[in-house]
Amino acid sequence: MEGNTPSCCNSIGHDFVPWLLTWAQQFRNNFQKLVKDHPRKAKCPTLLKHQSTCPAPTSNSLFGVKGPTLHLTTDFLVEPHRALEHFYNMQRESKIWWMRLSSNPSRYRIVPCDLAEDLNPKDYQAIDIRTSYGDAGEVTVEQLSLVRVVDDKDFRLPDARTGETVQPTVIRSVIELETATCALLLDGCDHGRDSQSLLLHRVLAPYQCGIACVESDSELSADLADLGLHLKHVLNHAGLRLSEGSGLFSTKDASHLAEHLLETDMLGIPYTLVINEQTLRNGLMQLRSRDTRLAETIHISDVPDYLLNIFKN
Amino acid sequence: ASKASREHYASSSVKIFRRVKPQQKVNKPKKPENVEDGQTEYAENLVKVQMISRNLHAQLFPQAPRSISEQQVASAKVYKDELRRHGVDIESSAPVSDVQLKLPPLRGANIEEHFHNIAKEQVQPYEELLLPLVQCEQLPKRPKRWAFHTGWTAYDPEDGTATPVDHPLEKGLVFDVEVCVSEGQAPVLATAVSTKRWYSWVSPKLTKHRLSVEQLEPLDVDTDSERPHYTLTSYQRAMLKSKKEPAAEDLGWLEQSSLNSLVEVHRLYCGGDALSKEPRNIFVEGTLEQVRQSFQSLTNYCASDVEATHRILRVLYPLYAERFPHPASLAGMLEMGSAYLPVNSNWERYIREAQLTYEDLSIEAKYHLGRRAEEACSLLLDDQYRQNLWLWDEDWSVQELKLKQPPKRKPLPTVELKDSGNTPEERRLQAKFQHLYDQQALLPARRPLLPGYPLWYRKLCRKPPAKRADEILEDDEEPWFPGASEISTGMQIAPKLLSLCWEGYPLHFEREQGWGFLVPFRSDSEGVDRLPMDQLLARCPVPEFARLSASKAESDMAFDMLPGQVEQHLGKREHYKKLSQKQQRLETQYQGSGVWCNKVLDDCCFFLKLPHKNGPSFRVGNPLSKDFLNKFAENVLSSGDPSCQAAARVIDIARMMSYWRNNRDRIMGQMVVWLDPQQLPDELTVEKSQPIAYGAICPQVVACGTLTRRAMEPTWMTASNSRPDRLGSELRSMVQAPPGYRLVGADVDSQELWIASVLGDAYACGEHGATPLGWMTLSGSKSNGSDMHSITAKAVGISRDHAKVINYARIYGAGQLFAETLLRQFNPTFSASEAKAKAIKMFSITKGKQVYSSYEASRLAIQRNRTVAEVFHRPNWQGGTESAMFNRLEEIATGSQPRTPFLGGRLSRALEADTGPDQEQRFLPTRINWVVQSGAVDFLHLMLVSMRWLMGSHVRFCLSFHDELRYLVKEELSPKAALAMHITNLMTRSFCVSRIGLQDLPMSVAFFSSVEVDTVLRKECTMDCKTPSNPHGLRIGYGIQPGQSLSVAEAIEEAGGNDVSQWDWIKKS
Repeated sequence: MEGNTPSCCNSIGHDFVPWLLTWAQQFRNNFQKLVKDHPRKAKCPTLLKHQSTCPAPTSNSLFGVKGPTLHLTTDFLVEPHRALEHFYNMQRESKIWWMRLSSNPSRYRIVPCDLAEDLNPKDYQAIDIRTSYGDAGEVTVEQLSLVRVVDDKDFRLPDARTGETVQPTVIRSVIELETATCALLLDGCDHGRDSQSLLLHRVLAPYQCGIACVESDSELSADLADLGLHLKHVLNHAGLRLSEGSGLFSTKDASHLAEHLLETDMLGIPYTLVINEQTLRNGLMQLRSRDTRLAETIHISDVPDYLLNIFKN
Repeated sequence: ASKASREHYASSSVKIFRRVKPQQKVNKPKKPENVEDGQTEYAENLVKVQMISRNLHAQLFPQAPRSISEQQVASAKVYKDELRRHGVDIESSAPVSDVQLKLPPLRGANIEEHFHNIAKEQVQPYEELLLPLVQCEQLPKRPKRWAFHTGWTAYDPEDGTATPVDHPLEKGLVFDVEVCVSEGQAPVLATAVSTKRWYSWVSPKLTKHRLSVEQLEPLDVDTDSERPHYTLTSYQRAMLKSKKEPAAEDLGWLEQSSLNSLVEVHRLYCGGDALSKEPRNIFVEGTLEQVRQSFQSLTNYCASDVEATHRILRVLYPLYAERFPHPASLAGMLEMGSAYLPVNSNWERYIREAQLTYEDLSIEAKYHLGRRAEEACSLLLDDQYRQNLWLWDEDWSVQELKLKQPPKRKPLPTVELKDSGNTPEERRLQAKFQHLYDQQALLPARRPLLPGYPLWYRKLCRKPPAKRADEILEDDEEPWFPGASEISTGMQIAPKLLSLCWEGYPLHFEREQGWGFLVPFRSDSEGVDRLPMDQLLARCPVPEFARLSASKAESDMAFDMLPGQVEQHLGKREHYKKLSQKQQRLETQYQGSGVWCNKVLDDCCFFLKLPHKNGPSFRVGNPLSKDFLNKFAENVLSSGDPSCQAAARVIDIARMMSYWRNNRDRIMGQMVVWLDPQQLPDELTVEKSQPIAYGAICPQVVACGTLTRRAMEPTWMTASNSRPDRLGSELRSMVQAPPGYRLVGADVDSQELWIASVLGDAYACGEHGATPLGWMTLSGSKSNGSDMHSITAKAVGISRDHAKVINYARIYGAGQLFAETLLRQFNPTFSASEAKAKAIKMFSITKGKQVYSSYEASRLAIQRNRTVAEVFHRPNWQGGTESAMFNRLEEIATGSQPRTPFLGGRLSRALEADTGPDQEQRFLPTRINWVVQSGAVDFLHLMLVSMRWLMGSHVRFCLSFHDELRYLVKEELSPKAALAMHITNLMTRSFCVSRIGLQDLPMSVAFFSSVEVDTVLRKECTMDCKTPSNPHGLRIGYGIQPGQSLSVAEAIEEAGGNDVSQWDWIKKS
């Protein structure tokens, strides 16, 4: 469901309470749409997702995003008596989700937001998932809040198990996409290793794989270029995102290759296939990894399945 | 009064004669004017310890009105001088408010009669059931055939006719239950016998009838652990288990002891043929079906255990009654066995969240280690690993992927490719390289894993799945992902990847010695082959002690420089012998905690083992285990790579996880009996949308499971307090009172310290607080530095916290050497001699000095050809703050029939047997400890009796851990229960002091400092119990509000006044 009404639940301090009390129009529209268009799915628990543009991005101590920004909002409508349990589970799962993509999973933490004293913690809770970059600062990548809806007869759903009509509790997740993307990019740089690799998670890397040819005999260089091209076809076909830059990389010089690999490391390309004359004879090639800086020998018949296994999430 | 007139410190070598200073009138705190009937309530004794208010004294010690004789005044001067000498300022304590209470009248002429009578009343119903069984010489005849009926069956004693019954018709039964282990913890069958007839019980599970939901809950702990009265020291237990030929000095107690199994206990008390335990294997290993098939023989087996138990009971009970004459002992034990912990749905949520958090954290730790492993791989490039202090000795060998020779004549089979491309160009290239694909046939059948990677890394990886990613079914066990997926903190590689150091030296693993660390003793790397000596020296220069030894003996130096020649010229043995001599010298100079193990690596550095908690001969298998985690906080164990944040985090994670890892099996194994929703009262089921389950756990308490008769239970009694870095440590707070109920309880303030000190006071002076230890315990305060720990700390020059630990260790029987070790552990900067001096000083201040040394005494005795006991009395302690206490404790402990001071319970026969004059010292620390701890158990049993008397059936006993007591009570009665707890403390202490000849009680110990009225079983009612698995705390995460903490004044207020005698149920009785 798409919409453009700004949803203003993100800065918990001031806007949280108004959102609770007045019910963002956006949410109401989405809810009515759910009940009308998808009556079979309108049961508790369920979820609503929508993207919206927010004119004023949240600020953080590390970088600024010039507005407007895209918000990915997910509203989980859950059984009220299990709401807290759902909420805590969701915190855990969201945090784990971010952690799995990180070069340093320990940088993520859950920070409870201080809510006004008069809000009963049984009915209102909010947390930030923050990622920290040492002394440099922190960025909020996701916000989760729980709202137990006050009596509202337009907002009821049947419980999927008992069929009883209940007033769902809303658990909302908001991710500001631009901020989150920058946070992930920073995460790839901030890893404390000697090498200047960009340690983007392999599923996030814009380029997943590169191809490098090492020639030594000019007679064969045309064939080697052909093989490179062939591998490119195969990888593209398999749906892997291939780094091409200015065409296939090719060199006669081992130190030149090392330089090239350093560069691909800095671009965050997780793997490079290295082929040479030997490959033309027996199909054996090197699969060089950014993270270990070592190469594994594989056979051409392993391409692309082995790579697909690696990149499968 | 008679005791007070004795001569105190008769043989004291320190006698101080000085004029008593005129009493200071200035700065004297104003005494509260609590006047009633023209009399002030305030009272203090001869050494200015505030005593219980007059009204309380009159009620509790009616037979002993307060009075002071001239003789007492005279001896008070002596006490005061002694107190002053030890730095006690008796004017320094501030009075507390008096308390006015109307207690129910005592049952008897005095407090001692009172407790005897109420305890007798409480055990009477049980004795009425028990005694006929004890007196029954011949049990009814066992039926020939057991009925295979669900539920209870009664058997006619004459003809064995089986009749189904709802429950046994008599109340006094000896019973045994059998559990089929593979089917869970609930019993599957049981037999019982009364003096009239036999019964059997069969679980519906066994007969497959599922109509009845009846479940038999064991009313007591299982038979193999319920016989309490002959407990042993751990040494004795080990001896019994070892089946070794006993040493002569052990024969005495061996005749009086056995291990706690039915077979062993039966052998000890009844003799005869050994019981057969053969059929039990079916219950342990077999299935329900097997139990069914052997039903008759298994039920007979169960019944023969019942008979054996009865035979033991007949012998044991009279023995028990003789050795534990006070009825409060049995009454207390019966109560202890009825522990009950209410829980609700939060119990399951707690386990779920702890387990999930645990998994999350282990993923996180694994991820960090995996990253470190990946990073370490690059050390293979240019053999950089040779310079790595941790990874140099890993296996860095690499495998190649080689193709087989192609067959000479046959062409290779053509590999069919699914997709030959969309464009002609793509198809052309595909065809061009088809022959390369065809060489697939030449790949080895077993593909090497990660050819090109070092072996140690390959061991951490899994083989990728053979199938294509999209063909893998969802239910394939664990999804494969690249990298070191099999790594964990328990692996040998983990400490290396984290670059761990001990005392700054890099860790190293040797198969035979386990984990240790490398200390260089040479300052050059010449001739050192494998070990990265330059890096080691750059990080850790040759330490002073090793350098000294080297420069001192130049020959040694030369010896070290020529390792090759040495080996040629000397036999291996001599070589080591020489090193070992050298090491012996070094060992005396090395100040760290590593363990020398006579091992030198590459002739350039020592290998020292990490210290194992069980002693130097043990090898450390994992430095990331629980015992070492604290060493990280002390910086003894650290990461050698400051940029490696992962190390710190992995260690944090390991610390968080250790509690749950060590306890989860016990916690998850707790048997919760969930209540049927239909059994719940209406008010709990009204809100259907919130289906909360309610249940209870009956902890398997062994009422007198230890030598000192303290109770034992593996999960709850050792439950740690909630700590922010301990996953799952919110355990206790998951015991939650059902709606409308409260958990009421308190901790006895410094129970054992008071018991020990009051024994000394009563013995030496007959006056509370008249010995320095006594005074500090009663009137000392932390805030003005007049308590025991502050005074010791000041005198010796250590922190109060450290002094506290050592003070307790001493009272528990630890010696000077132990104190020395503790001091050094707390203050690594202390030298050995400094620690020794401090320990000596501390002991002479506290314990004092013995009048003569036992060595000297035995020398003199031998000269006269007599035993020591014939020539000398036991040596006395003198001149220390605790001398009186130790003299009293030793006097009790070395008696021929030691008895606990309060209830007169006897020491285990296993220890009592050893009282020969030469044996006296043998188990002395254990026996001293027994006096205090067993005294504390008496104290607890008395409290249980008193609470039962005050509250009747209005409270339900929940749990007691040593000095802590908790009850479940209806919300509206909770203030009264809190007040009853305070009064219980008052009366129990009054009883105790009366038993040791005192007729008054100090105010400071008369009441609990606070009684907690709470909804959950946490230590303090305000704790929010935030832990990694309960990150939001109890208030937000579970919606649990803080409880109340009531002082005696607050409890009186909340309970609606101080006239306890007017409480309904007390008035009626």
